[in-house]
Amino acid sequence: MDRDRLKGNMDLLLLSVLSAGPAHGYAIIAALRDRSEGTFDLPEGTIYPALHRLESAGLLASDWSTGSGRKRRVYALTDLGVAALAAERSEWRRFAGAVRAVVAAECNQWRRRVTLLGWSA
Amino acid sequence: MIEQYLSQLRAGLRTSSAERERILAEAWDHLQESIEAGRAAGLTEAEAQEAAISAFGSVRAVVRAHRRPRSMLVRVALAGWGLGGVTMVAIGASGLVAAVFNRLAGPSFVGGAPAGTRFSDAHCKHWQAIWHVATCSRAAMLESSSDAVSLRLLAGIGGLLVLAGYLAARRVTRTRGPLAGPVPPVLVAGCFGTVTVGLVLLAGRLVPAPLLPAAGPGWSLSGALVTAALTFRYVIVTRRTRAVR
Repeated sequence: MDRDRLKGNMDLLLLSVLSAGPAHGYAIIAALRDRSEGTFDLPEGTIYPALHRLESAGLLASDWSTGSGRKRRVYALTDLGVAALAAERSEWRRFAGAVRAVVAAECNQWRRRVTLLGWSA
Repeated sequence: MIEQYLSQLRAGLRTSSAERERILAEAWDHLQESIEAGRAAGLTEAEAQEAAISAFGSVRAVVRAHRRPRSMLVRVALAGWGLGGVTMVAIGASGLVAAVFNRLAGPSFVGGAPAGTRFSDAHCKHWQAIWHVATCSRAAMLESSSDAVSLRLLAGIGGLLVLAGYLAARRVTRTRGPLAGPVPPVLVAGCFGTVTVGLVLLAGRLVPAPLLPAAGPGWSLSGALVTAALTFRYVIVTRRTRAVR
């Protein structure tokens, strides 16, 4: 999976994972990997800047908690984050639909050309 | 292994100290959890640590991910610094061209003022004392042709120092990319191209230039050759950065 394409959709992915409930960084990355069946497999350390940025934007809140005897930072969606997720999901559906339509049109054109060639041969 | 990784990360991060401690604490927790998962999967401690670090990402990748985009003002300022250095070096290069003109076409080509140019008595006295020639116009010509080389070469040396400072600033700020930064290459080409046209018009005495010393066509042409080369260079860069059609 192209890393740049993934970076462009990182916010939507992180907000979606956290919509299931608060989680710390390791759990978030594991959920991303599991839900995407291994397609989204990026350097784990690089999601933290995205989480910090979303927190600075007010879409996430985080706090230190003690789990398994270790101090870990747990992230959760804020009300603003819930609204942002809904907006991102809607935008994504529109975008994916448009891409699908364009790619399908291209495929149909190609299929038509191949069929014509078959007939002329 | 983990401690070494974290100390390298600590050294590479360019953030506030509070932010850095948070990043390191989260990284440590993440790596510990990853190591536990590796041990549970049957890896040895060393293998689990190596796998955890590999999955987390190289120090370089993580540091780069945490780098905040530099403000546009800083990027433009850096670009201005670099372009200023290039311009000063270009002036120095034009001094070398002027020296070649002096040798090949004689000092009048560079320094010879148009006929009828008048100079102040003070200037005449000063130049004639330096050059020990009979006429003021000849002294002015020699002075102008010499200054076109020496003063420009000084500017060129200054330009090299400015560029050295610029390269050091790039290294310190870990800036990458072209020298012109966010300044579009077509704009840089346009500026150098405009200067080239202006210098050519000056050489042909087609435009008045009351603030510039009265000199021969070579005075301006030596500059025009260098700025033309820079224009050409940035036109090439512009074409290379255009989208493939």
